[in-house]
Amino acid sequence: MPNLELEDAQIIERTLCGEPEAFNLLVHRWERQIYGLALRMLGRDDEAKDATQETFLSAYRNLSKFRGEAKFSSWIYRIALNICNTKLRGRSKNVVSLEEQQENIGFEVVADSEDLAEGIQRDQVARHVRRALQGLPPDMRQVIVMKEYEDLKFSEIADILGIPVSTVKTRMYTGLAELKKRLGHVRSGI
Amino acid sequence: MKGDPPAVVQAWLGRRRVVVMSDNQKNPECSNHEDLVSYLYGEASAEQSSRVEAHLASCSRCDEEIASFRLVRSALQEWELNDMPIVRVALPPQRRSATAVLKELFGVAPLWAKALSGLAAAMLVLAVMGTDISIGHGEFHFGTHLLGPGGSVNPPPPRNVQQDEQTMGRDEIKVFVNKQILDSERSQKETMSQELVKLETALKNTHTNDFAKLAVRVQEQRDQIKTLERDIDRRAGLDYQDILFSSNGAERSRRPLDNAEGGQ
Repeated sequence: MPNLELEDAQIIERTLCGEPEAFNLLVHRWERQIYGLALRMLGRDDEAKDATQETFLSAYRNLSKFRGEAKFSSWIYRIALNICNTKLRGRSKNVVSLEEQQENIGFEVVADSEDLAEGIQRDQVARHVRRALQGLPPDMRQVIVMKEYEDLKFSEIADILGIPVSTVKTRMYTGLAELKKRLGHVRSGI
Repeated sequence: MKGDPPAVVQAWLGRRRVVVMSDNQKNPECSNHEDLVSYLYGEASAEQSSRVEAHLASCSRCDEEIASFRLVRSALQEWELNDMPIVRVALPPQRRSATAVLKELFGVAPLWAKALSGLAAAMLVLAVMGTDISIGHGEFHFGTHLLGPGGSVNPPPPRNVQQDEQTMGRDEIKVFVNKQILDSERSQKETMSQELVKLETALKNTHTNDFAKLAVRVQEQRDQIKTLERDIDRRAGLDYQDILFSSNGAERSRRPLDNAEGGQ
């Protein structure tokens, strides 16, 4: 069966040839990945939304500079990471978001059923994962986010970041070891 | 206690895997973190995998470490994207070059418009080159005055003209260029019209001469036909005796007499 879906490069060509609405196909195709990346890098939903929007706007404005030699995904991930890093640098270290304050307060796990308890527990774990990730240095965090959530290969991450594959793996190892500490020592249990 | 993971996380981690942490002796293979990470994410080659597996079998510390990393990975996957916002990017219109706009306009223009614009462009180029085209006397002449007779470039305009051009504003330049284009177009049209008139006259003259020659030829043919007709009429008036007693017949009639004379 023929593949009727347009390649990213074809959509870019159409956009550059005077069909700006074709770019929405790219937005629709990549918004989830870019939003996911931004959310896990920034840890805040509102900032992640802004970063996603800025990423696509920047990509649209600089589309004519995109070289077909690289994949569009690598290019747009790079833009998104740059935007996230700029936002992280601009953050005041003393400011704690309302969401983080709520997380710090925490709440009692009162479950009426096992499913609900499981759901709440999962939510709690997700919150701790979010906080643990936010505690990592950005260079480690971006490697872990791209590997764990975007399912990119080490070589692809190296290409996006412009660093050797060995550096990516070292950051990955160090990041996992750091997360292990932050998420708690795996204890002998039960 | 500060630094301990929250109880809820410990409970969650504890339900999934039981790992006993212990300090074992280390060997150089323990520091091969790249291979370990590649193995953990299924990106190790067959050789790397067998090397890592052999090491894990003999090193409980690394075996525990990789097990704990698997738990960390599992915990990371608990952070799912539940609420995916709809991203709407208000795209500003792309800046398009004048060439691209012209190309698109040309693409949608009807055939006659394309032909006309092509002709105009050609005329403009020819006008700029100072091209001289003439047709007549059975030949086609094409010449340009871009270069002088000696092959040298025409001298630049006087200095004051250049200065005037420099001081002209953009709009004035536009008006000036448009005027030049119109003038050259008009001039080209006039030249072409004159050439056409000349060509038509030459054609008429040629036709007139040809007709006159043809008329003479026709007249000659008519005269020849009349002569032939007269000859035919004259021949038709002769009877058999005339034929018989013509020069050949007289010879034949004289032969018996000759024979008679010879016999005497």
